[in-house]
Amino acid sequence: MSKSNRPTRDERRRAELEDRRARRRSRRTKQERSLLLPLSLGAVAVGVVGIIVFALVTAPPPAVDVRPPTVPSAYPLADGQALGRADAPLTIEIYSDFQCPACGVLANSVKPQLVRDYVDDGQVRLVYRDFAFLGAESTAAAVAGQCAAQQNRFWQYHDYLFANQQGEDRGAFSAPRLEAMAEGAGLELEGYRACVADPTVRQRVLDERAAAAAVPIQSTPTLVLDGEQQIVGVPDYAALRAAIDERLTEADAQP
Amino acid sequence: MSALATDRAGHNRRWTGLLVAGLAAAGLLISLYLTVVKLSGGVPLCGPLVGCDTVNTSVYSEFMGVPVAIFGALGSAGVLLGALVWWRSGRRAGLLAAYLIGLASLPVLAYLTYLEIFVIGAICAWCVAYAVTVVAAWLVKIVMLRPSRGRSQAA
Repeated sequence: MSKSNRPTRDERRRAELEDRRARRRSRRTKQERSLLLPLSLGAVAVGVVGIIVFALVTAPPPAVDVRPPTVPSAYPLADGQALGRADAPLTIEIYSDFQCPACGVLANSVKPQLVRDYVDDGQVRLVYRDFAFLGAESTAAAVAGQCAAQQNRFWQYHDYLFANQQGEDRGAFSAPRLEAMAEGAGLELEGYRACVADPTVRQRVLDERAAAAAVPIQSTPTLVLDGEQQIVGVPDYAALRAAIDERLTEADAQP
Repeated sequence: MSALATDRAGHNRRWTGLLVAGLAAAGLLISLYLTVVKLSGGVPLCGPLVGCDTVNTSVYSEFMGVPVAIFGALGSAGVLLGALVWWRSGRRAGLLAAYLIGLASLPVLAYLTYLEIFVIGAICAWCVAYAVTVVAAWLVKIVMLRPSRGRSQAA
Protein backbone atom coordinates (compact mmCIF):
# COMPACT_ATOMS: atom_id res chain seq x y z
CA MET A 1 0.00 0.00 0.00
CA SER A 2 1.41 3.35 -1.00
CA LYS A 3 1.72 6.13 1.46
CA SER A 4 -0.69 8.34 -0.53
CA ASN A 5 -3.56 5.78 -0.09
CA ARG A 6 -3.37 5.84 3.67
CA PRO A 7 -6.12 8.02 5.28
CA THR A 8 -4.94 11.22 6.77
CA ARG A 9 -5.49 12.01 10.43
CA ASP A 10 -8.43 14.28 9.49
CA GLU A 11 -10.02 11.57 7.39
CA ARG A 12 -9.64 9.06 10.21
CA ARG A 13 -11.17 11.49 12.66
CA ARG A 14 -14.10 12.17 10.33
CA ALA A 15 -14.63 8.46 9.80
CA GLU A 16 -14.53 7.88 13.53
CA LEU A 17 -17.03 10.67 14.09
CA GLU A 18 -19.30 9.32 11.40
CA ASP A 19 -19.05 5.87 12.89
CA ARG A 20 -19.93 7.20 16.34
CA ARG A 21 -22.91 9.06 14.91
CA ALA A 22 -24.10 5.94 13.13
CA ARG A 23 -23.85 3.94 16.35
CA ARG A 24 -25.78 6.65 18.23
CA ARG A 25 -28.47 6.68 15.53
CA SER A 26 -28.69 2.94 15.66
CA ARG A 27 -28.99 3.00 19.45
CA ARG A 28 -31.76 5.59 19.33
CA THR A 29 -33.61 3.69 16.65
CA LYS A 30 -33.47 0.51 18.74
CA GLN A 31 -34.62 2.48 21.78
CA GLU A 32 -37.51 3.95 19.79
CA ARG A 33 -38.53 0.52 18.54
CA SER A 34 -38.49 -0.95 22.03
CA LEU A 35 -40.65 1.93 23.31
CA LEU A 36 -43.10 1.86 20.44
CA LEU A 37 -45.15 -1.12 21.58
CA PRO A 38 -45.73 -0.07 25.22
CA LEU A 39 -46.40 3.52 24.17
CA SER A 40 -48.86 2.34 21.52
CA LEU A 41 -50.66 0.15 24.02
CA GLY A 42 -50.79 3.13 26.39
CA ALA A 43 -52.27 5.35 23.68
CA VAL A 44 -54.93 2.77 22.85
CA ALA A 45 -55.71 2.44 26.56
CA VAL A 46 -56.12 6.22 26.82
CA GLY A 47 -58.55 6.13 23.90
CA VAL A 48 -60.53 3.24 25.38
CA VAL A 49 -60.73 4.90 28.79
CA GLY A 50 -61.92 8.04 27.00
CA ILE A 51 -64.69 6.04 25.35
CA ILE A 52 -65.77 4.47 28.63
CA VAL A 53 -65.91 7.82 30.42
CA PHE A 54 -67.74 9.39 27.48
CA ALA A 55 -70.22 6.52 27.34
CA LEU A 56 -70.88 6.74 31.06
CA VAL A 57 -71.37 10.49 31.01
CA THR A 58 -73.55 10.64 27.91
CA ALA A 59 -75.56 7.47 28.59
CA PRO A 60 -79.25 8.23 28.88
CA PRO A 61 -80.47 7.69 32.44
CA PRO A 62 -81.86 4.22 32.98
CA ALA A 63 -85.61 4.01 32.74
CA VAL A 64 -87.10 4.40 36.17
CA ASP A 65 -89.72 1.80 36.82
CA VAL A 66 -92.21 2.80 39.51
CA ARG A 67 -95.40 0.97 40.39
CA PRO A 68 -98.63 2.95 40.24
CA PRO A 69 -101.02 2.58 43.19
CA THR A 70 -103.38 -0.36 42.83
CA VAL A 71 -106.47 1.79 43.36
CA PRO A 72 -105.95 5.29 41.99
CA SER A 73 -108.20 7.92 43.48
CA ALA A 74 -109.10 11.48 42.50
CA TYR A 75 -109.33 12.73 46.11
CA PRO A 76 -111.78 15.58 45.47
CA LEU A 77 -111.67 16.60 49.16
CA ALA A 78 -107.86 16.97 49.24
CA ASP A 79 -106.55 20.09 50.91
CA GLY A 80 -102.75 19.96 50.91
CA GLN A 81 -101.80 17.22 53.37
CA ALA A 82 -105.35 17.11 54.70
CA LEU A 83 -108.24 15.16 53.26
CA GLY A 84 -111.89 15.83 54.05
CA ARG A 85 -114.13 18.73 54.87
CA ALA A 86 -112.61 21.41 57.08
CA ASP A 87 -115.75 21.40 59.30
CA ALA A 88 -115.78 17.63 59.78
CA PRO A 89 -116.71 16.75 63.39
CA LEU A 90 -113.64 14.53 63.84
CA THR A 91 -110.02 15.10 62.80
CA ILE A 92 -107.61 12.20 62.66
CA GLU A 93 -103.92 13.01 62.39
CA ILE A 94 -101.77 10.28 60.90
CA TYR A 95 -98.12 10.41 62.02
CA SER A 96 -96.24 8.42 59.47
CA ASP A 97 -92.93 7.75 57.75
CA PHE A 98 -93.00 6.81 54.07
CA GLN A 99 -90.38 4.11 54.66
CA CYS A 100 -92.19 2.47 57.56
CA PRO A 101 -93.75 -0.85 56.47
CA ALA A 102 -96.58 -0.65 59.01
CA CYS A 103 -97.40 2.83 57.68
CA GLY A 104 -97.63 1.18 54.27
CA VAL A 105 -100.15 -1.34 55.58
CA LEU A 106 -102.18 1.49 57.12
CA ALA A 107 -102.05 3.50 53.89
CA ASN A 108 -102.86 0.61 51.60
CA SER A 109 -105.49 -1.26 53.59
CA VAL A 110 -107.00 0.88 56.36
CA LYS A 111 -106.98 4.37 54.85
CA PRO A 112 -109.08 3.45 51.76
CA GLN A 113 -111.85 2.07 54.01
CA LEU A 114 -111.60 5.13 56.25
CA VAL A 115 -111.94 7.45 53.29
CA ARG A 116 -114.87 5.52 51.87
CA ASP A 117 -116.75 5.22 55.19
CA TYR A 118 -116.02 8.53 56.91
CA VAL A 119 -114.08 11.07 54.83
CA ASP A 120 -116.20 11.06 51.69
CA ASP A 121 -119.38 11.76 53.66
CA GLY A 122 -117.80 14.61 55.63
CA GLN A 123 -117.57 13.01 59.07
CA VAL A 124 -113.78 12.74 59.32
CA ARG A 125 -110.93 14.93 58.18
CA LEU A 126 -107.55 13.18 57.83
CA VAL A 127 -104.35 15.15 58.30
CA TYR A 128 -101.06 13.56 57.31
CA ARG A 129 -98.18 14.50 59.62
CA ASP A 130 -94.60 13.81 58.57
CA PHE A 131 -92.58 11.96 61.15
CA ALA A 132 -89.65 11.15 58.90
CA PHE A 133 -87.18 9.47 61.19
CA LEU A 134 -86.08 6.22 59.57
CA GLY A 135 -83.39 7.57 57.26
CA ALA A 136 -82.36 9.96 54.52
CA GLU A 137 -84.90 8.58 52.07
CA SER A 138 -87.67 9.13 54.64
CA THR A 139 -86.78 12.82 54.65
CA ALA A 140 -86.46 12.92 50.84
CA ALA A 141 -89.85 11.29 50.42
CA ALA A 142 -91.41 13.64 52.97
CA VAL A 143 -89.94 16.66 51.16
CA ALA A 144 -91.33 15.33 47.88
CA GLY A 145 -94.68 14.77 49.58
CA GLN A 146 -94.77 18.38 50.80
CA CYS A 147 -94.01 19.48 47.25
CA ALA A 148 -96.90 17.37 45.99
CA ALA A 149 -99.07 19.05 48.62
CA GLN A 150 -98.10 22.45 47.18
CA GLN A 151 -99.71 21.31 43.94
CA ASN A 152 -102.62 19.76 45.90
CA ARG A 153 -101.74 16.27 44.73
CA PHE A 154 -100.37 15.06 48.03
CA TRP A 155 -102.70 12.07 48.40
CA GLN A 156 -102.06 10.78 44.90
CA TYR A 157 -98.34 11.07 45.62
CA HIS A 158 -98.81 9.50 49.06
CA ASP A 159 -100.35 6.45 47.37
CA TYR A 160 -97.45 6.27 44.91
CA LEU A 161 -94.91 6.37 47.72
CA PHE A 162 -96.58 3.62 49.68
CA ALA A 163 -96.98 1.51 46.54
CA ASN A 164 -93.19 1.72 46.01
CA GLN A 165 -91.80 1.05 49.46
CA GLN A 166 -88.74 -1.20 49.50
CA GLY A 167 -86.70 -1.35 52.69
CA GLU A 168 -84.95 1.54 54.35
CA ASP A 169 -82.61 3.78 52.36
CA ARG A 170 -82.21 1.23 49.60
CA GLY A 171 -82.93 3.53 46.70
CA ALA A 172 -86.70 3.12 46.52
CA PHE A 173 -86.98 6.85 47.18
CA SER A 174 -83.94 8.02 45.25
CA ALA A 175 -84.31 11.38 43.52
CA PRO A 176 -85.02 9.92 40.03
CA ARG A 177 -87.61 7.52 41.44
CA LEU A 178 -89.27 10.24 43.47
CA GLU A 179 -89.45 12.35 40.33
CA ALA A 180 -90.87 9.45 38.32
CA MET A 181 -93.54 9.04 40.98
CA ALA A 182 -94.22 12.78 40.84
CA GLU A 183 -94.77 12.44 37.11
CA GLY A 184 -97.01 9.43 37.67
CA ALA A 185 -99.04 11.33 40.27
CA GLY A 186 -99.63 14.11 37.78
CA LEU A 187 -97.38 16.79 39.28
CA GLU A 188 -96.04 19.65 37.22
CA LEU A 189 -92.39 18.69 37.15
CA GLU A 190 -90.66 22.06 36.91
CA GLY A 191 -92.47 23.26 40.00
CA TYR A 192 -91.74 19.94 41.71
CA ARG A 193 -88.01 20.21 40.96
CA ALA A 194 -87.82 23.77 42.23
CA CYS A 195 -89.68 22.76 45.38
CA VAL A 196 -87.53 19.75 46.28
CA ALA A 197 -84.43 21.92 45.85
CA ASP A 198 -85.84 24.52 48.23
CA PRO A 199 -84.11 24.21 51.65
CA THR A 200 -87.09 25.70 53.48
CA VAL A 201 -89.23 22.71 52.51
CA ARG A 202 -86.66 20.32 53.94
CA GLN A 203 -86.51 22.45 57.07
CA ARG A 204 -90.28 22.21 57.40
CA VAL A 205 -90.02 18.40 57.31
CA LEU A 206 -87.36 18.48 60.02
CA ASP A 207 -89.48 20.87 62.09
CA GLU A 208 -92.50 18.56 61.77
CA ARG A 209 -90.40 15.66 63.01
CA ALA A 210 -89.34 17.68 66.05
CA ALA A 211 -92.94 18.73 66.67
CA ALA A 212 -94.12 15.10 66.43
CA ALA A 213 -91.47 13.99 68.89
CA ALA A 214 -92.67 16.72 71.24
CA VAL A 215 -96.34 15.48 71.17
CA PRO A 216 -94.88 12.86 72.00
CA ILE A 217 -95.16 10.46 69.11
CA GLN A 218 -92.95 7.46 69.75
CA SER A 219 -93.51 5.24 66.75
CA THR A 220 -95.21 5.12 63.42
CA PRO A 221 -97.91 4.88 62.45
CA THR A 222 -99.75 6.69 65.19
CA LEU A 223 -103.28 8.02 64.76
CA VAL A 224 -104.38 10.89 66.95
CA LEU A 225 -108.12 11.43 67.19
CA ASP A 226 -109.10 15.04 67.84
CA GLY A 227 -105.70 15.70 69.36
CA GLU A 228 -106.53 13.54 72.37
CA GLN A 229 -106.67 9.82 71.76
CA GLN A 230 -103.63 8.04 70.34
CA ILE A 231 -103.88 4.76 68.49
CA VAL A 232 -100.40 3.33 67.99
CA GLY A 233 -99.64 0.88 65.20
CA VAL A 234 -101.96 -0.43 62.51
CA PRO A 235 -105.40 -0.65 64.08
CA ASP A 236 -107.87 -3.40 63.43
CA TYR A 237 -110.45 -1.65 61.28
CA ALA A 238 -113.41 -2.76 63.43
CA ALA A 239 -111.71 -1.38 66.54
CA LEU A 240 -110.89 1.85 64.72
CA ARG A 241 -114.50 2.17 63.58
CA ALA A 242 -115.67 1.73 67.17
CA ALA A 243 -113.31 4.44 68.37
CA ILE A 244 -114.38 6.81 65.60
CA ASP A 245 -118.08 6.15 66.12
CA GLU A 246 -117.71 6.78 69.84
CA ARG A 247 -116.02 10.12 69.12
CA LEU A 248 -118.67 11.07 66.59
CA THR A 249 -121.45 10.20 69.03
CA GLU A 250 -119.77 12.40 71.65
CA ALA A 251 -119.49 15.20 69.13
CA ASP A 252 -123.19 14.83 68.25
CA ALA A 253 -124.17 14.94 71.89
CA GLN A 254 -122.39 18.24 72.43
CA PRO A 255 -124.69 21.25 72.06
CA MET B 1 -29.66 16.49 0.70
CA SER B 2 -30.84 19.42 2.83
CA ALA B 3 -31.48 19.29 6.58
CA LEU B 4 -35.19 19.04 5.85
CA ALA B 5 -34.77 15.98 3.70
CA THR B 6 -34.33 12.98 6.00
CA ASP B 7 -34.53 12.06 9.63
CA ARG B 8 -32.50 9.67 11.75
CA ALA B 9 -34.30 6.64 10.38
CA GLY B 10 -33.46 7.77 6.90
CA HIS B 11 -36.99 8.77 5.89
CA ASN B 12 -37.58 11.53 3.45
CA ARG B 13 -39.73 13.87 5.43
CA ARG B 14 -39.78 16.85 3.09
CA TRP B 15 -43.20 15.91 1.71
CA THR B 16 -44.48 13.43 4.29
CA GLY B 17 -43.99 15.94 7.11
CA LEU B 18 -45.95 18.49 5.13
CA LEU B 19 -48.61 15.91 4.32
CA VAL B 20 -49.15 14.97 7.98
CA ALA B 21 -49.12 18.62 9.04
CA GLY B 22 -51.57 19.50 6.26
CA LEU B 23 -53.97 16.71 7.24
CA ALA B 24 -53.76 17.75 10.89
CA ALA B 25 -54.38 21.38 9.94
CA ALA B 26 -57.44 20.33 7.92
CA GLY B 27 -58.70 18.32 10.91
CA LEU B 28 -58.06 21.28 13.17
CA LEU B 29 -60.06 23.61 10.92
CA ILE B 30 -62.97 21.17 10.68
CA SER B 31 -63.14 20.61 14.43
CA LEU B 32 -62.83 24.33 15.14
CA TYR B 33 -65.68 25.01 12.73
CA LEU B 34 -67.86 22.38 14.45
CA THR B 35 -66.93 23.82 17.85
CA VAL B 36 -67.83 27.37 16.87
CA VAL B 37 -71.13 26.23 15.34
CA LYS B 38 -71.98 24.24 18.45
CA LEU B 39 -71.11 27.07 20.83
CA SER B 40 -73.11 29.57 18.80
CA GLY B 41 -76.14 27.29 18.88
CA GLY B 42 -76.28 26.87 15.11
CA VAL B 43 -76.06 23.85 12.85
CA PRO B 44 -73.20 23.06 10.47
CA LEU B 45 -73.65 23.75 6.77
CA CYS B 46 -74.11 20.43 5.10
CA GLY B 47 -74.99 21.36 1.53
CA PRO B 48 -77.10 18.68 -0.12
CA LEU B 49 -76.14 16.19 2.59
CA VAL B 50 -78.28 15.66 5.65
CA GLY B 51 -77.43 14.56 9.16
CA CYS B 52 -75.03 17.27 10.31
CA ASP B 53 -77.71 19.00 12.35
CA THR B 54 -78.97 15.74 13.87
CA VAL B 55 -75.49 14.68 14.94
CA ASN B 56 -74.38 18.12 16.10
CA THR B 57 -77.44 18.61 18.28
CA SER B 58 -77.52 15.09 19.70
CA VAL B 59 -76.71 14.33 23.32
CA TYR B 60 -73.42 12.86 22.09
CA SER B 61 -72.19 16.16 20.69
CA GLU B 62 -71.31 17.35 24.18
CA PHE B 63 -69.22 15.93 26.97
CA MET B 64 -70.07 17.45 30.35
CA GLY B 65 -71.28 20.58 28.61
CA VAL B 66 -68.19 20.89 26.41
CA PRO B 67 -68.58 20.39 22.64
CA VAL B 68 -66.94 17.10 21.67
CA ALA B 69 -65.40 18.85 18.66
CA ILE B 70 -63.10 20.75 21.05
CA PHE B 71 -61.37 17.47 21.92
CA GLY B 72 -60.90 16.83 18.21
CA ALA B 73 -59.37 20.30 17.85
CA LEU B 74 -56.96 19.61 20.72
CA GLY B 75 -55.96 16.27 19.19
CA SER B 76 -55.39 17.77 15.76
CA ALA B 77 -53.42 20.66 17.25
CA GLY B 78 -51.19 18.15 19.02
CA VAL B 79 -50.62 16.16 15.83
CA LEU B 80 -49.92 19.36 13.89
CA LEU B 81 -47.36 20.47 16.44
CA GLY B 82 -45.63 17.09 16.49
CA ALA B 83 -45.60 16.90 12.70
CA LEU B 84 -44.11 20.39 12.41
CA VAL B 85 -41.40 19.59 14.95
CA TRP B 86 -40.50 16.46 13.01
CA TRP B 87 -40.67 18.24 9.67
CA ARG B 88 -38.54 21.18 10.71
CA SER B 89 -35.94 19.53 12.92
CA GLY B 90 -36.07 15.84 12.13
CA ARG B 91 -36.70 15.07 15.81
CA ARG B 92 -38.56 11.79 15.76
CA ALA B 93 -40.09 12.53 19.17
CA GLY B 94 -42.42 14.87 17.26
CA LEU B 95 -43.42 12.09 14.88
CA LEU B 96 -43.85 9.66 17.76
CA ALA B 97 -46.06 12.12 19.68
CA ALA B 98 -48.19 12.74 16.59
CA TYR B 99 -48.48 8.99 16.03
CA LEU B 100 -49.54 8.35 19.65
CA ILE B 101 -52.15 11.12 19.63
CA GLY B 102 -53.53 9.73 16.40
CA LEU B 103 -53.57 6.21 17.82
CA ALA B 104 -55.43 7.33 20.96
CA SER B 105 -57.95 9.12 18.73
CA LEU B 106 -58.72 6.07 16.59
CA PRO B 107 -60.85 4.09 19.08
CA VAL B 108 -62.69 7.27 20.05
CA LEU B 109 -63.41 8.06 16.40
CA ALA B 110 -64.54 4.49 15.83
CA TYR B 111 -66.92 4.77 18.77
CA LEU B 112 -68.29 8.13 17.63
CA THR B 113 -68.84 6.72 14.14
CA TYR B 114 -70.64 3.75 15.67
CA LEU B 115 -72.87 6.19 17.59
CA GLU B 116 -73.62 8.10 14.40
CA ILE B 117 -74.62 5.03 12.43
CA PHE B 118 -76.31 2.82 15.01
CA VAL B 119 -77.51 5.11 17.79
CA ILE B 120 -78.15 8.56 16.34
CA GLY B 121 -79.01 7.17 12.92
CA ALA B 122 -77.42 10.05 11.00
CA ILE B 123 -74.06 10.75 9.41
CA CYS B 124 -72.33 14.09 9.70
CA ALA B 125 -70.15 14.74 6.64
CA TRP B 126 -67.88 17.05 8.62
CA CYS B 127 -67.28 14.33 11.19
CA VAL B 128 -66.50 11.82 8.46
CA ALA B 129 -64.08 14.27 6.85
CA TYR B 130 -62.41 14.82 10.20
CA ALA B 131 -62.07 11.07 10.73
CA VAL B 132 -60.51 10.73 7.28
CA THR B 133 -57.85 13.33 8.12
CA VAL B 134 -56.97 11.53 11.36
CA VAL B 135 -56.83 8.06 9.83
CA ALA B 136 -54.87 9.19 6.75
CA ALA B 137 -52.34 11.13 8.82
CA TRP B 138 -51.95 8.19 11.16
CA LEU B 139 -51.27 5.78 8.29
CA VAL B 140 -48.56 8.10 6.98
CA LYS B 141 -47.03 8.29 10.43
CA ILE B 142 -47.00 4.49 10.73
CA VAL B 143 -45.01 4.24 7.51
CA MET B 144 -42.63 6.93 8.71
CA LEU B 145 -42.10 5.21 12.05
CA ARG B 146 -40.91 2.00 10.38
CA PRO B 147 -37.13 1.99 9.91
CA SER B 148 -36.22 2.60 6.28
CA ARG B 149 -34.88 -0.47 4.55
CA GLY B 150 -31.63 1.17 3.42
CA ARG B 151 -30.83 2.59 6.82
CA SER B 152 -31.61 -0.67 8.61
CA GLN B 153 -29.22 -2.53 6.41
CA ALA B 154 -26.59 0.14 6.89
CA ALA B 155 -27.01 -0.01 10.63
